Amino acid sequence: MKSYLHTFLRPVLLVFFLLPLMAAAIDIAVTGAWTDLFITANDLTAGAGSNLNGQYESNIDQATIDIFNTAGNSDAWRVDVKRTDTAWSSIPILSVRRYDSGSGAGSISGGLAYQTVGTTDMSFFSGTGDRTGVRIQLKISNVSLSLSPGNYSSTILYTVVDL
Amino acid sequence: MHCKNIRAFFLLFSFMAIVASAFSAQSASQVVTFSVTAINEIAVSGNPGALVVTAATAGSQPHEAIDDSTTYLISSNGTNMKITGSINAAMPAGVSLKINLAAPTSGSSAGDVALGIVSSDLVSGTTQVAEAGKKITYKLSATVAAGVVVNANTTVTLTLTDGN
Repeated sequence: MKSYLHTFLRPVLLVFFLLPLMAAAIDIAVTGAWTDLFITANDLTAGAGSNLNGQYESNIDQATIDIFNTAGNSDAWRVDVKRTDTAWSSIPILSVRRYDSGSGAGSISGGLAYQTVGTTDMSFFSGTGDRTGVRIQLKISNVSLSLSPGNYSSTILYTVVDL
Repeated sequence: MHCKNIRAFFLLFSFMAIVASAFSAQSASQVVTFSVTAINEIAVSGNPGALVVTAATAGSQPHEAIDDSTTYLISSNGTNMKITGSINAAMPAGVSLKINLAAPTSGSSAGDVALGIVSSDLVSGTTQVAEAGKKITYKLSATVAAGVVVNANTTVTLTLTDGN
């Protein structure tokens, strides 16, 4: 009986004590979408004979990111970004940047310049501690008349990685 | 430590590692959508000069009057588009107005085409193009049977449309 307690019960008890600590992982929340971009003939740079504006920027607060449930101001994390296409094309380039630092006692760095969002995870920005209201701006570039009429859609996935 | 205990702790920490990895990354998503409408724009640089048939070689019909001073501009994101042309009223008897559009990089010109009130194909097969300065050539001819026509004018309409 004693051996049973040593072998099985103690580890199980340890799990029950430690699991809540491990489960308190960093969370990320994103609010906002960019669904109101309509490219028409009005976007020709100089009417007939000209091409489209090459790029379109969203509002500076098209999305906001909150990082929370960190273990404290020194708890380091990194946000990765990638896209999953629903209906996309090889022509338009989707980029993202962090417009500001939001607020919070922790720190935040990187991601202030536009970077292309690919279909595999790439580092976007990093920081420590909780940060809320980090404004995100998006850009779609390389748009021209070579892009056929239609609807294009992609989902940007932001992942916070506890470092 | 007892062998069983070692095994138990190994299992425990493996489990903890799995749990930890499962909670180590959280994700949130954002949808981006945009629409591109059909864009088919065509314009001309202006009106051609007056086309005046004045001379003839004895024994032949009068010489054509030619003007190539104007150009057209085209922007389209469509595929296999065509440009058609028409005039708003029939030409006087014995008078013919032809038009010739230089083709954009993609597409082919039908060459000289006599304009009528029914649209005729002038350029076909244009695909996703943005070009300016494409030459328009007008040729006005009149037979001697047309007699004297004074200050006639007509409106030429160029239309960019689906060629499928």
